[in-house]
Amino acid sequence: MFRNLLILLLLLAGITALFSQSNPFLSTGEGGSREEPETRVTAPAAPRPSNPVLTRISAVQRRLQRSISSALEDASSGKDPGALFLVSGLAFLYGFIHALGPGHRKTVLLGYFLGEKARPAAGIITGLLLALAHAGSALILVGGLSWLAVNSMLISINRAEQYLYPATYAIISLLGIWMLVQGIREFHGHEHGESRHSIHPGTGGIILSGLVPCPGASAIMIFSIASGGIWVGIIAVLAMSLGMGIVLAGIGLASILFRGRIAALIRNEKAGRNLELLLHLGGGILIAGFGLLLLAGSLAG
Amino acid sequence: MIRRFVLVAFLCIPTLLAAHPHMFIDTRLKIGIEENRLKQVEITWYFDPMFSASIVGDFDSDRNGVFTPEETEAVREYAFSNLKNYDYFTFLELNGKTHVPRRIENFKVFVENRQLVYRFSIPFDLEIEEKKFALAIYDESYFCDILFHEDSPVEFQGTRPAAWEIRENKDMSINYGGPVSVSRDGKEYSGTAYPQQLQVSLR
Repeated sequence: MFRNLLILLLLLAGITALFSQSNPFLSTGEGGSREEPETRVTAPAAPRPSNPVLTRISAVQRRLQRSISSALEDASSGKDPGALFLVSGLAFLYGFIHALGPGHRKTVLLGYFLGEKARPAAGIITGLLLALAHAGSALILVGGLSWLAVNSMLISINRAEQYLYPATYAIISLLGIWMLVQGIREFHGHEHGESRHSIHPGTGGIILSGLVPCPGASAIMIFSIASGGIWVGIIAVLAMSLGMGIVLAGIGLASILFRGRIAALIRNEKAGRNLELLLHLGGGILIAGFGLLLLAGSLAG
Repeated sequence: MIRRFVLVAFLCIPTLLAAHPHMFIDTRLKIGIEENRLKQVEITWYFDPMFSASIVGDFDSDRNGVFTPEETEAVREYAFSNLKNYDYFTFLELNGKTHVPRRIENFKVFVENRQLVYRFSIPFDLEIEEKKFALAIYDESYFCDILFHEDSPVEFQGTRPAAWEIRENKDMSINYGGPVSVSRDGKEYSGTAYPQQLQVSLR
């Protein structure tokens, strides 16, 4: 068991998640264009392992996005009162499937709740609030831009993201470093007193780290404003955030239960304490590493 | 019990690898071949309703679906030119090498059947030595999910090819930068990491 966990942590820590999540189409303006050759030769990419689960996820999302668009239009036009329920249901499903896909700070949730002793409720609440922060920031940003009558919404969101991404990566890094410091203090014999509270000091950091606007939620908001039904868009985004929240709450809860199970297996008090320490340090290293890699990537790009 | 949790934890791992799709694009290609040379490829992209609404809202001031030359230039500058950092999502396998475009020509943007459309050409002018080549259109960051259009995906100008087909070639070293792949209705989910690729052979 111990070995499985170590392997898991090493695997997680070894992955460099440096892919940009911003829209490749968008730029804040281009510099001077110079004459370039027509083509260039690139190194062929190496093959990677496959994941049949994710294949299905993207195919379903493609269809769902279209269904939501047309249901949003129906609901905005007011012709069909049932359309609002349909939109909410579809958006909920979209959020659920969307969060199953890559991203959404799942690494941070996993690392934090593997490392920190917490009650199951803390994992659930953190997951739900993280999703709300992610979708809510899109809702407020797009809603605010529309209220301010800003015409170039996509560009403005893209500009805001240039600051929000590094900021949230810095929050993640600090959270990881804070966990490490706590772990090192424990190592030197200080009692770890935080775990008695149901509200965790670090969970605020996790929730704040989700404040980058969810591109899916932004798209729903922009589309609903374009079809004249901003309220339909707001309801859809909230339903979507609930869908994402269930997945994230599940990850938080699973990490907490997993941690509890291992702790319960070890009867020896000293070994138990060492394991807790290892989890704490491991979680801190995972989160700090993840945050710093992303931060370096976003600042370099 | 524990096994299940390990499983859940492991399922989270691939989710770290790549950005999930937020945009959905159908692509059509018009390929110009002269004798034994690949002269140019014209690419047409049909966008999903949400990106369509965003671009029309941001750049088409009277929202009539027609972009003036100034509006087209604004779209090109702010919502297209950045793709040069992504090789315009275009990967050509020819004579054992992967070629990517460095520049594009004749950028056009319009609305057709309420769908936003981008159209542009890539000048290639390369000798087809081995009588065959393959083209794949995909986004390595996987922000965009790109598939060939279900209805007449490819058209040829000049020299006719002997044969062509669109498939996921598992021997080709193309990946989505993560363990993801795409598929559409009616087709089997292969579960491979490879995007769709157009394979063309000449006489």
